Amino acid sequence: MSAQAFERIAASPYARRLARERGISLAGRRGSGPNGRIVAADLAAMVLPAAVAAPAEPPAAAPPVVSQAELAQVSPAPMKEAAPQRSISGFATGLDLSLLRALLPTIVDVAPDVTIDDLVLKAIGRALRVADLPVETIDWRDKAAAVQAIIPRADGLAPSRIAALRSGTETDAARGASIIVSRIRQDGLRPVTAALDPNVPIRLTLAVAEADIAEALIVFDEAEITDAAAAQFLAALRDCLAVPLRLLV
Amino acid sequence: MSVQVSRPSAGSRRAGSEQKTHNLPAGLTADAMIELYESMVLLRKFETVAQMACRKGETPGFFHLYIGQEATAVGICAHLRRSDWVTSTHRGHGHALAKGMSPDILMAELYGRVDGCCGGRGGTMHLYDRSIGLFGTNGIVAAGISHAVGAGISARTRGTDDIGVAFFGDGATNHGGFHESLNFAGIMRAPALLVCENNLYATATPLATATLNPEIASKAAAYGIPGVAVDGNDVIAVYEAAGAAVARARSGKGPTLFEAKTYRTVGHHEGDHVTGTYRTQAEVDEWLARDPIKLYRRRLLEDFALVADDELDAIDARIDAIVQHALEFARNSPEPDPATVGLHIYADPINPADALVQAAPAATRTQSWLDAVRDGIAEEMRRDPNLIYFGEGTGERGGTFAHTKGLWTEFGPERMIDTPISEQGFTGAAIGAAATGARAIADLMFADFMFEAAGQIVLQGSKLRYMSNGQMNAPFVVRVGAGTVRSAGPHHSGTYHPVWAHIPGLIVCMPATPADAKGLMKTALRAGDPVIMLEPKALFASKGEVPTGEHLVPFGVARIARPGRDITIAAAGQIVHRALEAAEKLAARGIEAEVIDLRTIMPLDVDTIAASVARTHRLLVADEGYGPFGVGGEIAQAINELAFDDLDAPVGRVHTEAMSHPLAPTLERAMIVDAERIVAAAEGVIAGRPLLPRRWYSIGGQPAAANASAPAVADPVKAAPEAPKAVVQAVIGEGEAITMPFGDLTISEGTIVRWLKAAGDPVQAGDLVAEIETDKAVVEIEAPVAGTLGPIEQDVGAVVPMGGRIGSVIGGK
Repeated sequence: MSAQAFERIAASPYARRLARERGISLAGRRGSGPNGRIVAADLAAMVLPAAVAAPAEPPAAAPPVVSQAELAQVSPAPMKEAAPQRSISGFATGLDLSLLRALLPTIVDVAPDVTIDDLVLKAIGRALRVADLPVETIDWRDKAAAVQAIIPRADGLAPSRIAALRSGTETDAARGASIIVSRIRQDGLRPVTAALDPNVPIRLTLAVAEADIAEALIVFDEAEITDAAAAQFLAALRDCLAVPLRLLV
Repeated sequence: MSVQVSRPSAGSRRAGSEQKTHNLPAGLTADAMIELYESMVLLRKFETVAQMACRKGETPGFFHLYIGQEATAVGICAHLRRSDWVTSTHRGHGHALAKGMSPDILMAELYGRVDGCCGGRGGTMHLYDRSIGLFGTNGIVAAGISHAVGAGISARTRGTDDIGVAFFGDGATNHGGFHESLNFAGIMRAPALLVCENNLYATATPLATATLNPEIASKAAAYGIPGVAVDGNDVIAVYEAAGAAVARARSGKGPTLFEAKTYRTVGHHEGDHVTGTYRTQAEVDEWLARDPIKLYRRRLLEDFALVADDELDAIDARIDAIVQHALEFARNSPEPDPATVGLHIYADPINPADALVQAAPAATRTQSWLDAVRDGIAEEMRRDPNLIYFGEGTGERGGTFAHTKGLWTEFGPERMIDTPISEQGFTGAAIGAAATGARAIADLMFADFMFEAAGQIVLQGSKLRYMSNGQMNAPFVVRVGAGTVRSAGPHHSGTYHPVWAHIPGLIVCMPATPADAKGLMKTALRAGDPVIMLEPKALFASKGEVPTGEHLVPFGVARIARPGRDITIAAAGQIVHRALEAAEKLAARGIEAEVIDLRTIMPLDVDTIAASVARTHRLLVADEGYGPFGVGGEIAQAINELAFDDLDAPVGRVHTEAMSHPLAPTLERAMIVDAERIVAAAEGVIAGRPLLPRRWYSIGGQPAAANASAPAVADPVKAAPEAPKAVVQAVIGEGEAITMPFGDLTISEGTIVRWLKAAGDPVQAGDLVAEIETDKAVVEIEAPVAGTLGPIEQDVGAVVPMGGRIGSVIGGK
């Protein structure tokens, strides 16, 4: 029953919260508390690992237990190597999910595992096709739920199949370029920037928890995707969500 | 007289029967005689229909039917007004109908429907109807007797001549609730009628096997009140005897024990065998031949010749229609909405409006705890002339702790009621009074004694609002001294607040300052729910600043007694002060603790604790109650739910060790919560390793963990008796010390009133040398040995702690 047997991270809830808010990974770390438990005071000594993308959320207000000076050590992520210069553009919009949410209860008996995310993924697939973007797969990243999954862009997939791929009960080999879809489980936040991984031409950030309106941001590499195509993608996604019947045709 | 059954009245029917009235029993007109018949038939036919509904499985729960006993309820209730209160038993449908409940709403209640008298919350054994003066049928044997006594006292307090009437069975007469209530009713000359329906069996136990004195009416002699026994199957006999007893109660002469000898001709409950193992068919048949309705019908037709057979048949047919209507009404009434299940647990809002008024900053004065609370009670008694105070020795004596000093003088014995030592009896009466328009304090002296009244508090007072669907409430206050003080021992040291906070419907207060004690008491005396007011005995001698103006403190609003940034310590009552001491010790080590004074245990202000934890990220609960299933566990879970992401360490708890309070001071110190234990527990939380409580016994479990033993034992320095300063003073100085004597548990100091000898006077051992005065008494001080009185060390007027030196005898022996 040792903690190591499950490779679990011993951290206080408050330390976890601070790490979450600051985009700090606690994996592989030990803290100063009992059994190596990471406590809030330990976070002052931690910095952002370079490999992790900068968080989309604005940094949280400094909690009183950590001084501003300590926080200053934590927040800026020193980049060890400059990324190759890319020309990045972005668009943002609000997406109305209310009709999609209303749809869920009507299919729960036949597709109990399908969530709003799966319907959104299907809509993304449709929008990718409409805009004819050069990506083959959707790289789904849901940090709050600790889920990362690769899903084919094919909009013909059944929502239940998408759910299985998303939750990892089924897998599909990754092929070609991806769109990163970064899912933030928070209402009332408007994402304003996001980093593009190397070799990824476009990234969509979706911020929504329970609300009907999801805040969406796309950033994309102008060298690979035109403004017009990106705008068409976002508009198609918005239209698809607003009229879910479009998903059927 | 009137029979208050709300149904179409037969009216004046028999023009030709007036010439017969000279044969009628005293006080009864021909119409009234017919109405008695009609009432009995209603009770019988109603029960018969209810029985069938029960057998068909249409009604939830189970019934105890009144069949066979109708003459008693009808004969007695014929004397009653709507404004008289009746309390009843598990077999109470008949009492409800006879007191005037509509058969429709009664049947709907039996069906658990929304149109029932209690909206389906009560049911057969919990029928309440304020509009007709039905203070409940009752699932607890003997529980309603004290309510009727209290209702009678309430009526007298409010200046009416209404009375309380209790119905109970022979089974109740061996119960403490009967004895305590009859004695209390007697000594109070309560306007009450106490009706025992002796149907010979307590469920299946024959009365003669349950007592060596089965003549129930004769038991009245034990309480110095009249007892009468009548044939309970003869409605006229019941009516006539009850008339005298009711008149006696209304005229202020006091209660009567009224025994109606009767018989139920059905099983104990519906579904139970009619005879069972405890009675024979022959016996049942004998009583069936004496069926009260059959007997009375024959008398109406033959003895009084008041009415013709077909006229009575017409009445029967009309009652059939009424009962059938009730059945249809019940069947068609909707089931209660599950969304309403949480209504009527407490008043909503739980605080009286006055308590939520933000008082402007006002002048204060320094007052002792007991004086502050006493003033609060006096203010409320002046404000509400219907507020009465029940307690043992709280009248002219001024209370065991001198906590009601002066109230008897101002408010008199009618409102400051000295009770016998019968906690169940007078707490039940307090509930009865509080539910019927008066307000009552039940002063049970020590928190430990509340268990003597626990059934009344938990099963009656706390549930009344809910059972009655919000029609009734019992705004009474249980006032007790609580907690450890100076080796009070196993039966005088407990707080037990988690026990009461566990019960829905109760408010539990445990103040820490004189101002809060007064303010919460005043709020309690204006609130709508039962309040358990636990005043820590250890704080009775404390003093504090108390606002001079109107001062109410709301329930469920905690106070930050000391701000801090590193750890939150939540506490209540005297432990707040131990936590403040601990905070000072922690501050010396660089740890700033925030101390929260909970003030009330129920409602529990978890929001204030959670907000504090959001600042400090660590929480320790320090509480005088026992730990298992206690305040620490409750708050820890609340913080899990509300502030999990704010916790940087597991929540810690430090409680009084879960064991009886020992007498020996070294043992007592080893089990109570003190500042040192709080410091140790706080340091454990800060280190991320809360101290484990001493484990209760579990099969195969480990004995107490290493750090579970009380610090007092682990640390011999601390275990050494703490020498009170006063004792130190006493040893120092020349000669044989004369000291301020130790007195009462809760008295900490005394004042020198006068010296009877002068310095240099010769004294013999035992000579009176001085008089001192405490909050409770004037005490004479004797010379401890013969010799010469030394210098006067404390002048007249000086306040000296118990054990403190005031002078000496020199050259003794």
